Amino acid sequence: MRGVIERCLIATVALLASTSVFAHHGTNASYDPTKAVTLTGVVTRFTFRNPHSFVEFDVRNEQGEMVHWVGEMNSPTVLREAGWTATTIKAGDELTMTLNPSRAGTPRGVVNRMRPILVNGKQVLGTGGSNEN
Amino acid sequence: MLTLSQTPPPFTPLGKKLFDANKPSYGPRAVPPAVGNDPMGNCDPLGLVRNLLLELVSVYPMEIVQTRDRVFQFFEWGHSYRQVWTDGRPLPKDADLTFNGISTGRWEGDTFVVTSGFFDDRSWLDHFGMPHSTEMTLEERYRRLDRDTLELNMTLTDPKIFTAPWVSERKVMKLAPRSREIAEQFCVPSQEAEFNRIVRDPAGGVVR
Repeated sequence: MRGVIERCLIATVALLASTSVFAHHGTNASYDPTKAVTLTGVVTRFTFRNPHSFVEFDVRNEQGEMVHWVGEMNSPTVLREAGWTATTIKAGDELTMTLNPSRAGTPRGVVNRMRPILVNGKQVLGTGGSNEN
Repeated sequence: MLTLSQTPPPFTPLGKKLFDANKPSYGPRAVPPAVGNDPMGNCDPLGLVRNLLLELVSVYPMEIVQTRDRVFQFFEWGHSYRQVWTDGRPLPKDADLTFNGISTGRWEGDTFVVTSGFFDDRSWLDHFGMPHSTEMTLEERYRRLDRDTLELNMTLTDPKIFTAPWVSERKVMKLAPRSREIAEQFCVPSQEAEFNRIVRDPAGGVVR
């Protein structure tokens, strides 16, 4: 039995992964999971990259002023598992999504992927997953 | 669980002081990353223990490659790797300190035993701000339970920080499908700086 792994020899690989997930970096410290705000605006940029993806969009508030919101998302590794790609959201798209907003009251939030996300009026990718992983 | 076990040994006075100075963004002591001091927030290297833990219990896989005289572990996070010498050499008496340390491995029956030391103490042991010193040594015991299952038990010894060795819970890893490859998951400092400026700091109410 000795050397079960050893006998795999050169460049034979064991690719290991666990299905466990872990809380995203500081999510509940920065954002309030008990609050949710659903916003509709026009995307200015979708940044799909490690370690955090984020989407920037302009939303007109009740006073008629344009507010630049940023929604924090997971890493591409996590998002890809849920079917996301770098072009799921594009600049110029009309976007509706729900954020758990910043505890500091700034126009920042973590995107709640358990709530519907609409791009140009159509729901993308269904709901599911968690913004906690 | 992203740490060795739920029950770390008691701290030494120095260990407690360093632990209190570390401000993580995970767990019961979590603060917004904008006001924390997690080295990960600047893409600093995680160090071996934290990198191993991240690969063990999260979505990031590791890849093990064996050659004649070394075993390599490739970590997706940070696109980094560590090497374990298996040519019979002992750990050196003295060496420069590095984030992943120096490791030697040997077989004890079915168990691959890895002994490591010479760790740079700027890294944290886990996401929760557990500190370590340059005197930390680590023993990893790997055993393949069946074709698809690898078990790992770890013992971390650091008398400057902990009053007793810290024995991990049993970690179990599963073989991934061959279609899953290690992705290029660099933590890019310039990207992280932009993220911090646009998202992290405003979300934490911090203006720089």
